[in-house]
Amino acid sequence: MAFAGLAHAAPTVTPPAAEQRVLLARTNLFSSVPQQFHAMLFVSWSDGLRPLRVEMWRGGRDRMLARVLGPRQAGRFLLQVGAEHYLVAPGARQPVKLGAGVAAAGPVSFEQLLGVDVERDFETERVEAGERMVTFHLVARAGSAVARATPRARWVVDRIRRQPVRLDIVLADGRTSRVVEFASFADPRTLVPAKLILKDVLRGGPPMTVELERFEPMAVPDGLFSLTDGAVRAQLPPAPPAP
Amino acid sequence: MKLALLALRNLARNRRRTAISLAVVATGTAALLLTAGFMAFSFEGLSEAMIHGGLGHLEIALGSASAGRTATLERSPAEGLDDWEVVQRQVEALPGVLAASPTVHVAGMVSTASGTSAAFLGVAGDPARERRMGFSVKLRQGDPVPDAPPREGEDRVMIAQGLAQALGVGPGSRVTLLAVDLEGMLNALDVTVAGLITTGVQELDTRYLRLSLGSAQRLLGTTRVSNLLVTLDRTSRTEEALASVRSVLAGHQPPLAVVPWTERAPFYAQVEALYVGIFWFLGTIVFALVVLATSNTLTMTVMERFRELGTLRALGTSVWQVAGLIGLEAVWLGLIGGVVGDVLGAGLIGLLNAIGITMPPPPGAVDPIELRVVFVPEAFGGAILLMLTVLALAAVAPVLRVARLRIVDALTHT
Amino acid sequence: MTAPPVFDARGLSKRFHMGQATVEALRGVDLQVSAGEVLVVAGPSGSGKSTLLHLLGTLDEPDAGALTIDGTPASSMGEAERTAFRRIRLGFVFQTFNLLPVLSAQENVELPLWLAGVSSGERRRRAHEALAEVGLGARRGHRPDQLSGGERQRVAIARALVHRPLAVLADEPTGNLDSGTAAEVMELLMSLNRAHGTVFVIATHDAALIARAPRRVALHDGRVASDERKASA
Repeated sequence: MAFAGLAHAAPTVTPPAAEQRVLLARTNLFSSVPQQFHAMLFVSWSDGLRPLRVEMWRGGRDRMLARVLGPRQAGRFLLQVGAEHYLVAPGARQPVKLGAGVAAAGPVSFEQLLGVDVERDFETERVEAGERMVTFHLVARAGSAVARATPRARWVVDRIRRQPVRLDIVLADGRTSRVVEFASFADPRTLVPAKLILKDVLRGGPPMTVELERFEPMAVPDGLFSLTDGAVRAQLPPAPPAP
Repeated sequence: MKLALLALRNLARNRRRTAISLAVVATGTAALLLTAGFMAFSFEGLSEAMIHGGLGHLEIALGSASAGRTATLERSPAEGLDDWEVVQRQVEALPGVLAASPTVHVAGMVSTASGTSAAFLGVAGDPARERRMGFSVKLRQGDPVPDAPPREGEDRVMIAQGLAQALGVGPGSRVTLLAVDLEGMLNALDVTVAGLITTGVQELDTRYLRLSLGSAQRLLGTTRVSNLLVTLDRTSRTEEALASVRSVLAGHQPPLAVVPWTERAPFYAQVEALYVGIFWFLGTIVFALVVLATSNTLTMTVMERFRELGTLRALGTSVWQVAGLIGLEAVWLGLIGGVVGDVLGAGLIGLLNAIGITMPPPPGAVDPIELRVVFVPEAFGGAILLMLTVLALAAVAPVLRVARLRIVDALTHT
Repeated sequence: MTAPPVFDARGLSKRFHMGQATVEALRGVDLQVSAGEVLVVAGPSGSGKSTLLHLLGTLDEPDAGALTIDGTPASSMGEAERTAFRRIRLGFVFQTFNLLPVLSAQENVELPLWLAGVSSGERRRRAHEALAEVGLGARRGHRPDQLSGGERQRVAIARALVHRPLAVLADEPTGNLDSGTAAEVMELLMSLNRAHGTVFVIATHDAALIARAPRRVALHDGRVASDERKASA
């Protein structure tokens, strides 16, 4: 009896079958979410830290621009091009490249909305398939731009709903550093997330909730992501008031 | 005829032995004086170096920031003073206060155009006030940060040598400072390296930089300061000033904490404890050596003079008079040895100070220091008292021996 | 009514333990010494002469027997009283002189007076007198190591007499002196006895000294073997 129970509970571990590869592709937000969009995010913390409103633009698979709305934050942007993160500030003539550690600690990144590109940047090492949840154990591809910040990850998906449930960022030594929970989606077809919860397991601190307030697929000008010329960014309308 | 005089004459009987005992006592005394003088020099040097190296005599910070974190040199302006200019005026009006200078502490990353970056610990202050307070910035190359608040885009910093070396920059280079502002957001500021400095501490030199108050506030997006540092005309006035500043700021909202420099520098207390420990250790060794050497001398004195002491007892000298005679011989040894030691110590201190010995930099420090031994007047008296105590202790065994002496045995002792 | 004897010893016994062995130094000695007497205690080494002198001088206590000195039972005195008694009523002369080497002849003689609390002027005067009496007035500033053996013993005698004691106890006072000097010292003691009436109890085995003594007590194995007085005395 006990054996039967155990056998029933234990997930089966196998290399990805064709069906699972389809499931991984279907849940990869980097592919499914529109490549160009403008969004408004509401970021809050469970322990009552002052919430933030963040405006975000995506201009292609790996380009993101975000700004925190607030009177003291005018002119400051966080820019992601490929795997690199930059800070654009009025006091600095050039965008300042942020190290992996600084970028991870920064309040705004793609991770907060889309997780990581589980198909392009990672290889599936093995799959744990439960009754409903399937866990993909991922290893960053050699030479991949994300390899340093995210050497390993676990991508947990709901195979019935065909939606991601959780992303665990795992360090090379096996410790889990951060967890992104996809709580709900705005559009079940494109899988645009509506609410995510981010936990910094390693450093601790209150969980951060990101809610999508507005989402508009639209053509985003290239100039917004320029590392050499801030003219297009400068023309953006002033930030709406902070919450 | 006095017992004391008799004791003194007895000491003169075996001049060689007495001279050796006196030499032991005098050397011990001089060693204690030199140690005390060197310690006083170290404490004085350390305290003044700490006070004028950036601690000030008093710190005024928010009570909430200070609570539980007294002993810190870094205080975020997140919990800083908004109305610091008002507080500054109140405190600077007090007697004995040289100045109350605002400080902003900022930590972050500094990077160069070529992509090299390193962590930094920045301190911003009011250069004119800091000069008045005797704060020394050791400029090694280039220029200091100008006194006047910088205009936007003209921010300048002084970078510690170790940090400059790590970044590969020098005077005139442009670097970008990156820090988290008071809202928790990243901000960046381009600055020009005006000069290279040293803090005097190697470890700190690898991440230290100084900037003007305006630059730091611009980087952090605030008009607050981390704290106000108060410097007095004399260190000895610290307690008095502490009380007066506290009473002036008593009603301030939010409540302010006034912290004396000693509480902010646990290092000082540790060094003091270490030195006092060393002094006691050395003192104990000197104590033990002198006790052993002189106790032996006094015991020999008693052994050799059994017959004489027996005669004294036979003639009607009380047992305590005879014991007192031995005790007085010990006291003379302590007194004469102590006085000779004082003279010797004073001479050695004068000599060492006249020669001017340069010592290599202490661990972690950058600059060599000139050895100076301070005259500590109370140590001169204290050393003699100590030696008298030591000799009294050394005399216990011989005196007890005398007290137990049987007259008949003593008279027949050969 | 006759005056009580200065020393009245009855059945004095004293034992010493030397390792396992017990030595009976005195075995029931009876001795009375009257005022003004000069008494020689004679006997070979180990006969108990020194032990008897120590007991008479209150430097030691008997194991058995009773001693009365000038009417006071010695056993009734405590340590402090015995010390005070010696200081005031007794004088001592030793074979090896036992002068304090750091003091001059004058200062050595002043010592008993100083112990008795006599003022410094009085001390000086009396010590000077005592030294003159023993013929050393001119050498009072000398220290013992600057004096001959005989001179040293004269200083010791002056020291023993300076405070006018009841009795002087002398243990082999001529033991370290040549025969000529010994005779002089003995002569001096006799003349001082005549001058001051001080009792002298002298332990010696010097035949010349014994021959001159008015009263001779011979000790043998801790007992009084004979007690003779010269007819002329």
